[in-house]
Amino acid sequence: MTELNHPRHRVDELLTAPIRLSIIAALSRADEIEFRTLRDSIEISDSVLSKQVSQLEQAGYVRVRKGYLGKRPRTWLSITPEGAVALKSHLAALAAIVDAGAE
Amino acid sequence: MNDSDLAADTARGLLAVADSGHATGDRIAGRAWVAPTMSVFIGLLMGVFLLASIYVFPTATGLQAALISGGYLAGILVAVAAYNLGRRVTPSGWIDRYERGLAISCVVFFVSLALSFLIDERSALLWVPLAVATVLPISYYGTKR
Repeated sequence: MTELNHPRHRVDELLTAPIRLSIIAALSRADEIEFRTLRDSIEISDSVLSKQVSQLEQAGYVRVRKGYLGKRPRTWLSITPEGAVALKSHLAALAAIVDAGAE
Repeated sequence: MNDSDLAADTARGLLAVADSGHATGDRIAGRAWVAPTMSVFIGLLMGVFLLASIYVFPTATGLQAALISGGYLAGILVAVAAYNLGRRVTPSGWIDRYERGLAISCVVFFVSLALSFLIDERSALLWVPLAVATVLPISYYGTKR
């Protein structure tokens, strides 16, 4: 089999969605961010954030931790080491595509 | 990725999205105040407790000693509860930095406490700097970005 060298082959399909990319990029800058804080900062709804986080969690890129503040549920989000690697690789591939396009 | 090429413009756009996401994360982390405040508070509790054990405990009644110890423990519990309940974000690497600061502060605290049993010196010139040396590591590492 021919080795695939073009940077597009290193692009992570899951992270081509801008919302998911925003979420994982924001999470990469902290150990843990509370769900509502991230929701308000990215300016998306509960349901959209839940859905996107769920996909990132299934891929093993994001960890979801649930707790309680009194009786109110609270959710904490963090990027996993696999997610950090995937993000770094994805951004490198995007940069390579931009560079290739500029040549 | 499938066979359709990701255009350079699209890639550039996604890089901009990532930059914006990074900036959002930095902004959120930059607003974190609960964890740093807890670090300083716990440091101050340790420093005050060290001074109390030098200047108050030797002449305190059992009740007074119990009240001071109880206040110290209650302060620690309140700080930890406030941290767990109040924080919205844990800054990147904060837990490691906090644990390093706490470990150093604990070493200074317990060495100072042990020293207080070994020598009779009660001069503020010795114990206030040791109390400050107890407060500083946890406060510094807990508030460091």
